[in-house]
Amino acid sequence: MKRSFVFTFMITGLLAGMLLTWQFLSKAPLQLNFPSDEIKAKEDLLKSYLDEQSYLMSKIVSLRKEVESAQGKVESTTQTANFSLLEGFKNNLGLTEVNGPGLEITIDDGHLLTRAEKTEPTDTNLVQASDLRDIVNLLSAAKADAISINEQRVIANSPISSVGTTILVNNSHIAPPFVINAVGDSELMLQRLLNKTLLPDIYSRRAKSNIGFEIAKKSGISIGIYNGDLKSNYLNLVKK
Amino acid sequence: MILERKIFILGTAAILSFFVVIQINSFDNVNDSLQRDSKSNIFQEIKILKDKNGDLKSEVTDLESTVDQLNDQGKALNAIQDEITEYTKLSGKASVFGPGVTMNIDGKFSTPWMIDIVNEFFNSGAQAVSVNGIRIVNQTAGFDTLPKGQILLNGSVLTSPYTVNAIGESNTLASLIQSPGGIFGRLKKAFPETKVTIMTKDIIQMD
Repeated sequence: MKRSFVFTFMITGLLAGMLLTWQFLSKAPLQLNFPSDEIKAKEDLLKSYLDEQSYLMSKIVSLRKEVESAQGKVESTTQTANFSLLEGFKNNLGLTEVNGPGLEITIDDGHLLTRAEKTEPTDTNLVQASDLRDIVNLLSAAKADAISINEQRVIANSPISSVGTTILVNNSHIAPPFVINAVGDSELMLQRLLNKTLLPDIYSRRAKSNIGFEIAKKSGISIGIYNGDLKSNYLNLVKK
Repeated sequence: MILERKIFILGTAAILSFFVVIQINSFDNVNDSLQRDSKSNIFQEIKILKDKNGDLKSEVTDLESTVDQLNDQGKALNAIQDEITEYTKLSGKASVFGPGVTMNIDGKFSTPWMIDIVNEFFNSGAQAVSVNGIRIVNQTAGFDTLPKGQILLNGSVLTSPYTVNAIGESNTLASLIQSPGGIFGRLKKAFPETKVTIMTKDIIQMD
């Protein structure tokens, strides 16, 4: 038998085997199991929750301002309450606006890409929740006074997570481009962020033009108050 | 004879390619398990939003009640004192205790995964989290990696075994952390040599 024949049969066999195996291993996308009106209903439900969430968050901000103003009135009429202690706690917990110099970091998905449902969440062209967590952690390690992502104030117990291709900060949806603002020592924060060994994944994907990553120094940044819930019902003070 | 050889070559090549594809697929599965973020779906998305909106509604109710109390001269001082007490617990300025879970990590570990664990505990509803006795609050300087790979938190070098404590509803915390595709399973796959355990506790104290 001629060598070229053997080669042809070998290639044909390899291709046939690969095609068959891939065919058996392929999984139909989950969405195809649902009729389109069911998918639409889920999307509508999602949208109604998001609308409600954005209303509740703005309501919380406005109520916290009302609390602040009512406390101001009480402060002017009494000396017994420790208002400076209360104000200190509010600063610590991200319940006061912070203004000052800092950095604006923009991290964006690769061009020509939309975060459609069908996009694989682990696509290297997508910004991952872990990218945002790493940046926020570095800023926190550089003692940033306040941090926000797409105007969502990030505090110590703010979760930054993902559901499919959607990124959630404080369990609220945020969309690319992701703009992280940080008030604090610009030089110190910049030094940390420019250290490629501390953000290896982000820098390697930027080098391949998979994602965009830009840092700009700003003389004046304003970061709003935390607009989420603060729960302490499981926490008990240890009596001294 | 020639036909038999042809069939043999075709068959061998097909079997070979079957194993190649299976191998490629297994690499994909390994990569998936090493991903720092889980692959969730629209059902989880709706559940998260529903829970979040429930929490926000309860916060709105609490704040409305605080406003009412502050506008009532007889109750204003009590409202302020309640707020100070709540913020004292949350700020980390005083020792707190409560039910929760303890995760022990004994062996090799890395900073990015520690960031993810803390994030996942807060995401699961923890109201306070500490790592090796250092409580994570707004004033805590974030995690850092030293040149030899040691984990630094708030200026202190952390050494194995690492203990992550979280105060909150213990059963919810334990089940969410250990849910299929959750952080517990992912980090066990990422660090197969490291011993990771989780247990619920009635009382955890954080100083």
